[in-house]
Amino acid sequence: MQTRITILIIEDEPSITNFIETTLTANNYKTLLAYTGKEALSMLTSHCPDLVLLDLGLPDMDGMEILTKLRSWSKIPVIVVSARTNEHDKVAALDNGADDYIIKPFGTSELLARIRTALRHSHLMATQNDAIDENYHYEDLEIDFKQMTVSLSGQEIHLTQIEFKLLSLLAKNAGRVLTYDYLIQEIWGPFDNTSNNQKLRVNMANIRRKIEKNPADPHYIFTQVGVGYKIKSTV
Amino acid sequence: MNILKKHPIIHNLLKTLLILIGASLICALLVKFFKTYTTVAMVYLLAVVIISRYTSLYIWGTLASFLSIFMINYFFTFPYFTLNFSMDGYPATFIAMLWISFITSTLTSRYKEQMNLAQKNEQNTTALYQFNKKLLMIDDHDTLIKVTVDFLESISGHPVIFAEPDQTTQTRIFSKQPMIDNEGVHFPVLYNNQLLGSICLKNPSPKEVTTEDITFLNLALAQVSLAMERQRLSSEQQTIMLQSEKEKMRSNLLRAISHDLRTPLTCILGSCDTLKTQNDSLTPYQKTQLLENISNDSNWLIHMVENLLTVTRITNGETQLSTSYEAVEEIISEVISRVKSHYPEVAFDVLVPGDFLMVPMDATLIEQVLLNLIENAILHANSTGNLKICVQKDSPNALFEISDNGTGIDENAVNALFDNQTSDYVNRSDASRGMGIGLSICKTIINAHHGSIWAKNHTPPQTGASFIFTLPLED
Repeated sequence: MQTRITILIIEDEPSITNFIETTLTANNYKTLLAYTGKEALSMLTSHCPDLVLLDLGLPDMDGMEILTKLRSWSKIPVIVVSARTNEHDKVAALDNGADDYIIKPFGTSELLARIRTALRHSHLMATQNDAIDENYHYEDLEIDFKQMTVSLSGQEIHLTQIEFKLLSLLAKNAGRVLTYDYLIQEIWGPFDNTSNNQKLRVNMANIRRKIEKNPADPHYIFTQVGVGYKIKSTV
Repeated sequence: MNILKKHPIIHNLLKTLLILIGASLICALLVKFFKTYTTVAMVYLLAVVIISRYTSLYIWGTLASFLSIFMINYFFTFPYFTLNFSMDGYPATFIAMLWISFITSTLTSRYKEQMNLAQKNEQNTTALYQFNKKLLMIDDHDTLIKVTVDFLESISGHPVIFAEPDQTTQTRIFSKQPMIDNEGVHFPVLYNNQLLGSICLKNPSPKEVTTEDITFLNLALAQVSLAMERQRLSSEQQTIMLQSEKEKMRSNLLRAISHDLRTPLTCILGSCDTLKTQNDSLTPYQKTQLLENISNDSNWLIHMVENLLTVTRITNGETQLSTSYEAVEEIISEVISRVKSHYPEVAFDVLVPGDFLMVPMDATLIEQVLLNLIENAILHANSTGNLKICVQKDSPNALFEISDNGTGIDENAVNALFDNQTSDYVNRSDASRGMGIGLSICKTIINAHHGSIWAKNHTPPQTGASFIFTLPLED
């Protein structure tokens, strides 16, 4: 029998825990429950779950604190579940190492899809850590990281160096939202502290114009306004 | 003449001497032609009065009376051209004469002083009156201070600084009493013993500041403090009015929304109760129906709560709106992806400018507007074709248009659509539940962005309607 994937649910609201647990069990996941931050930290170390669903508002500590502590020793995927809709909170969670961010209220199918994506990622990271520069291929879009070429339906597309760097960074993290700050730091370096992200936005707009049929109804690259960008996952 | 004006002592001395010489000449002529000595004293007395009148200090009148005694004695009393006070009766005459001239000269000087004072007072009163009139016409604080400083500068002839107590950067002395330091003279501006500010006259010489000046300044500053207080009160009143306006808007909205929340809640609660209590007697189809109802109404509630959250973002007024430049295509694409997750069957025709267009906005709020308008078109318009979303640059604005080819808008409601007053119209058709609130939220958001929003029906034979809003391109 295949070992089932274990998911730790850190959430203090019993009704929500209840519904998530039911859904996950029905979908053949094994669940662990933690109602407080302390409980969560001890369970994280003792049970080593495969994925964590983390609510930010806990009675004894801020979920962000758990995230920071967890990230100091582990890379297990964390999906933040929160009622905080502010872009600022989203960015903070993602920058602190969360893999995804899901806002209450959400549907079960959305939750399951996000769990699948996050697991796939941790899997990829674990097994193909070195093979990360395998080409990106989704529908008509193909990125060859070694040749540094991008093609759409077989037609090569000319990108500037920065545009290519941006696109390959997104493609290497396909399915994940990369925040503005992260992208700027990766592309322009840590010493670029101009607080506006105008040049990033302009470059992204140029990329969109080159690979999307309609920049306002994109097929590959998606925007989370106020947070960052992501490219469609390959799987 | 300039030298004379610059040296008042020489000026006055010359005047005194000239008048006395004139008097002596007149006396000499009188004595020569009429041999009368009695008028001599009178002529000199007249000279003393004239001198007192036309010189600036009464010392000149006194000096003139002494000199005239000696001159009468020297020129016009026997023995001539000698000073002799020992003659019978003469000492009494001279003392009386000296006395009279002395009193006249002091009286004249005092009268003159009074006159000058009265004149100055009148000038000051006029100036104060003019100043007061000016103050009454001023509405804003900065102009008030500028006018005050200008007025005091023109009156005193010294540079004037106005400092307010909260200007902590400047180390000014804030005392409730007038005081002098090496910078100048400081006067407090007080209202009800509360310090509103401080006036500083730069570097006057200490002699120049008389008690009258201080009184006058205090009077003027009292006017200033009154004007400042009046202004503070009127601005306070204005903020209160604005606040109550906002409060009214908020409570209207809340009332409308909580009314609208009841219906879906009743439905959810009822369905749940039915499922719990009569679970055994329900057919699977009925159960699915009830669950479907619950999920639909919950979705609607979520949508409403999102709108409510949006309202809390702007209830603190326009000043709280945190706008940043956002790419229009990114906003549109995010909105479309959100709509698609709820309504996967809806298709869009999207048209954005070929050039990269950045518009200052609060992205969350504008997304909410677009969501409301699109959802409106999907749910209420019975549109059959694709929804059209079109963004154009229409300097100095960006123009957003969402159009459908559905049933269009009731012509009677088209104007009042955004005013939250459509509930009559809305209540008549179940399908339009909550539409009025969504649109009035749109209007609030667009207004807060200094844009405008309107709706129009397409001209036949085209069916359907367009919702259009504009956002200014400059912050």
